[in-house]
Amino acid sequence: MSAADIRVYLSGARAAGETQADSSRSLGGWRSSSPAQSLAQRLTYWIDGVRVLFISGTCGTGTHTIKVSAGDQLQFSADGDDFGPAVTASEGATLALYSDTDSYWALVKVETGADLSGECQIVTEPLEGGAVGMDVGYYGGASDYRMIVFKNETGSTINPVTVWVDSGSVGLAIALDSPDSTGYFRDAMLNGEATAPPGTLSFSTPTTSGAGLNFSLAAGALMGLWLRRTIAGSGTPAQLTQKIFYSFGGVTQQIYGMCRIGDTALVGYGLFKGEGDAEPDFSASPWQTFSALPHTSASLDPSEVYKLAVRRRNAFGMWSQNIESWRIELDGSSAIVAPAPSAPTEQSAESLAGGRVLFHAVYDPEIDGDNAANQWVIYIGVDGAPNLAGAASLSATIIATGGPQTLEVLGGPYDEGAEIRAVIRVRRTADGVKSTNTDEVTAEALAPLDAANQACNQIELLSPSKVTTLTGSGNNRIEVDEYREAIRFVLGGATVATLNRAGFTLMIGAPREGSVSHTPAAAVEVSSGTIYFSTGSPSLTTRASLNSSGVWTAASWREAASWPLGDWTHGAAYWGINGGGALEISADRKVVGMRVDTDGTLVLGRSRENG
Amino acid sequence: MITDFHIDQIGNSLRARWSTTLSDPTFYVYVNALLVATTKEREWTVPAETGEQVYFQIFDESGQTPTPVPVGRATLCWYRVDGADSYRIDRLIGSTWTEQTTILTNEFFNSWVSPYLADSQTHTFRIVPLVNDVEGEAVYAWRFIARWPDIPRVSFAYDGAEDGTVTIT
Repeated sequence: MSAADIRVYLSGARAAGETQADSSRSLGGWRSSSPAQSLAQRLTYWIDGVRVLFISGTCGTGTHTIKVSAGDQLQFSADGDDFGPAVTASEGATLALYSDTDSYWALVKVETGADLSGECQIVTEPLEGGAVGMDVGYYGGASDYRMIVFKNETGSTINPVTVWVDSGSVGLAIALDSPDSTGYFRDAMLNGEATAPPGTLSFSTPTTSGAGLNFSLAAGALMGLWLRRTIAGSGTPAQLTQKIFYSFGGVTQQIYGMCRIGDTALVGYGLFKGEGDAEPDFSASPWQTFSALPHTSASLDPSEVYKLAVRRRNAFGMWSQNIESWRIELDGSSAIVAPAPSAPTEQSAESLAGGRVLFHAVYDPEIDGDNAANQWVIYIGVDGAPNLAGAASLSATIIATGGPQTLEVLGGPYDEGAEIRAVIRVRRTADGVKSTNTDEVTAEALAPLDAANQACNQIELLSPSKVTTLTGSGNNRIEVDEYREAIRFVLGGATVATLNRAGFTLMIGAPREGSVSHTPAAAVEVSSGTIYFSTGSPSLTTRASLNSSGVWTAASWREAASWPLGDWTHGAAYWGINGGGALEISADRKVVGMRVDTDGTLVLGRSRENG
Repeated sequence: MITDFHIDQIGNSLRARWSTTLSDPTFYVYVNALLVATTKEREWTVPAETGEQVYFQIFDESGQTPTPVPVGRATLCWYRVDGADSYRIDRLIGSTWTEQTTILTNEFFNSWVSPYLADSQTHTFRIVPLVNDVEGEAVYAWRFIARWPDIPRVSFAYDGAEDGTVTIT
């Protein structure tokens, strides 16, 4: 025998063999052509023109496949099984396809005469309801009925056929019923599914094949099976799989469906409690249950940290899945202690060149809501554990908005080879409460930077090579020290005056008033052991001089009324004639440091005799 | 193996974080038994403001099967009706059929997933084939939804040290 030799259909069709796929209407009368399903099915791929009518309950949940093989033949494999024999398809045919294990089978209808191609994947899931599961949302207390029809699809009598109830089914009883000569069964449609069918039926619950109900089916004959579900109206809610078996000729098949038993008294809320700062255990029973809000809990103990959460429960004993809890810490007097902020995450310490250590962490203030921290605090121990009881080694402000906040702060420099151990916490400055994490991050300090590395860090060293002669030569010259931004007037090998970037002209001797006689070759020139300063444009007139004793000579001299004397307009040069013909000198080429006017006045930004 | 799995509720989002005993695996993130990501990241965030329950299942190896969850949606499936150029999905709300969507399709097999449906109720739909906006014979489907209930929106208030109770509203 083959598993599909007897097929099981719904009842309640408008005429014998018509389509009627609604299991809740399967209450006797005419046999439907719609199979009694055990599995909900959907196709993720399909073969155009091949309709999947049925997947046997023996196949179970999973992904099953129908493929087209050579010559428009179809083959079926149940999930985890090999393909069974090929069956030739023809338009209009209803075909039973067997997997390699022949108790797994499918029923398809070919609706096209065109060439078939491709592959069909059928995903099956537990069927909620169905003829055996009946109404899914069942609150108990009354009996429900369904009627399904066994049909011998072969040309021979099959005897015996045995039907029994799975021992895991609850409140399920069965009774055989024969049709009249027209194929019509007694009809419970008139009074509905909650009323016993008319007439007398003998319900029983055999849970083994040996105790099962036996009947014989002639070729093409029908046998009805009434199912009755009776479960008390109160009790433990459950999700049930109601199942019957039938066997014939060495073949055993099954039909099943899922239902839920509800209890309206369960509708309400559960208060879950975690103690010792632990999250509530949602797998355990709630601390308290209640049917409505508001609700006042039992008293909480002092000196304890609680996390409380409320979940909603429906009549089927299913809880909402929220996990967020409300934390409350009570001191010895049952007063609230503000909770510590959450520990930062992604903590690390990274050794950088130069003995520096980069501390990194992430903290999300939104997790702590009103109790969020607003400061990073880092406790650092060098070659030892950090002192968490002491003051923080480093701190930084947390920006309290915009999602998770990242800390990246440099510590050090530390001595080469030092072991840096740190605990990164967050702190709420309003009350000084810190996160309580104690995990350390560590790093070993690297070598300090050498000179070359300092250059790489854009720290230039002072160098005498940056002193250059502007005019003159040998022991008589004017030179500039570029790094120090100073112009030195050197005569006879000695510096007799210096103009610095602060506008000081440092002099050995005091200026004196007098006339200077010289024929200038340049605005500033060194000649015969004396430096001459000239004005005018285009022709020059010497107005001042500086001798080897450090004495300035000019028609007059004064310190400037305000400093600096003006902005520098002579570019890269250290002196030049301005638009008024005056000679301007600058040590930094940014501001005028001293000036010789065309009337012979020597104007010094600031002066100081320092010998 | 997944370790240190935990979920944080951040505002209107749920964030799952986890670790693994494997070295640099690919993670398979299932939300309500549907694969939503294959990722190297060790966290995943989903919005939760609609009230739809979120159930994370994370695997660090391929070929794992998520545990079925009590979904709050109905999936309607139907085969092509010869001549139809579209299908209208109606839902019975009260005593009125209310259009949910109209799908323009000529596929042999079709399906439609409903919005998130109310708990502990039977929801009824019909699929109406259309030819040039002329209705064909409808097929009906109903589904009893028993799912995780909606998350209660509650607030807690400590009633003070005198009686040490908490009032939940």
